[in-house]
Amino acid sequence: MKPDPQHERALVEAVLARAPGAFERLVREYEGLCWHCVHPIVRHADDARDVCQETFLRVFRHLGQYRFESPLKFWIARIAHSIALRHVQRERRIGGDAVLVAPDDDAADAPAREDEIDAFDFEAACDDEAAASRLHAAIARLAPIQRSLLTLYHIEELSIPDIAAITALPAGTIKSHLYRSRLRLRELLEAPGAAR
Amino acid sequence: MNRRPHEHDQDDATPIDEREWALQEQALEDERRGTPPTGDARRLRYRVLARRLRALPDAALPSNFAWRTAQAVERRAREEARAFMRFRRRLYVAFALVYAACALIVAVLHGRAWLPPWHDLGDAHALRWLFALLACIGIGTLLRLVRPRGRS
Repeated sequence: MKPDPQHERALVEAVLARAPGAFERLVREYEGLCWHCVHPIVRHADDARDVCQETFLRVFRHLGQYRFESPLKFWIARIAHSIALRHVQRERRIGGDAVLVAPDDDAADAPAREDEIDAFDFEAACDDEAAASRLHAAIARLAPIQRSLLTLYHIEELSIPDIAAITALPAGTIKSHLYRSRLRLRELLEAPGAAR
Repeated sequence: MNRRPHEHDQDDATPIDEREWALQEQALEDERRGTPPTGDARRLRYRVLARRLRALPDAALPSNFAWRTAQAVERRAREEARAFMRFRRRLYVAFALVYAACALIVAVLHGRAWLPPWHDLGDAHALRWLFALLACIGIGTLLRLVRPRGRS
């Protein structure tokens, strides 16, 4: 959905003027995006909820500094992304083992040959619950950054430049992560029953 | 600068097979548009992946998250505003005390020089009452600053 600058300005001004219900409206409007920025990185639902709340607290405190230079959704998403990353880094320091970016996998360097021909039943593949659970497990094993990029690209339907504005990653790096993650996951679909 | 055809212009120099990337993007576009599933097997597998990604089982925020967050944020903002008011009041009191201490030191050090001319203004008894009045005004002002607002 394309951001509407006039609507965003009106909403920001209402929150700054402490209009009743304005901040709740702002939260309701952007909570989905915030969740999609936070949950793939933080993963634990309760922690992700706390991080979302912290995000909106920061939004409330600093909204007066928002200068409308980029859409409000990107400004909020940037805050959510950075708080989520900091949360994961803090957890890792405490004793977790979360790796923000997974090391490159050799298999991902070798896309399937162009002349590869196999019979593929699309509908059956969509209904294959075993493949789906393998896929979910593989997605869960992806590095937080890769999960986050897949979510923003596929679910939030943001473009690579938009994601770059949110995550402060170079567009080429984002494309590389997307490419490698999807290649790896597709290979998983090619090998039914193979645990990777 | 010359680039190999399958190398994408990117910052981390990871080679991307552009044809594979195009398949991934076409599959995503097919899925978004809901076009009939045709094309090569790899493209269809990417489409399955796109569908699965959109249907990921995902814990979500509670339905009253916005209301609860707005309440929590406003409560915290009120608490912070109160804490700031308290801090400001204490700062005023500290400044007032510092000024009073400075005035006292100056009076002790140089008071002898300007007290005799004051004595000449009237009798010492009246002057003592004047000092007492000024002290009352000063203490009253300080107490008003220390006492929280809204309390009578």
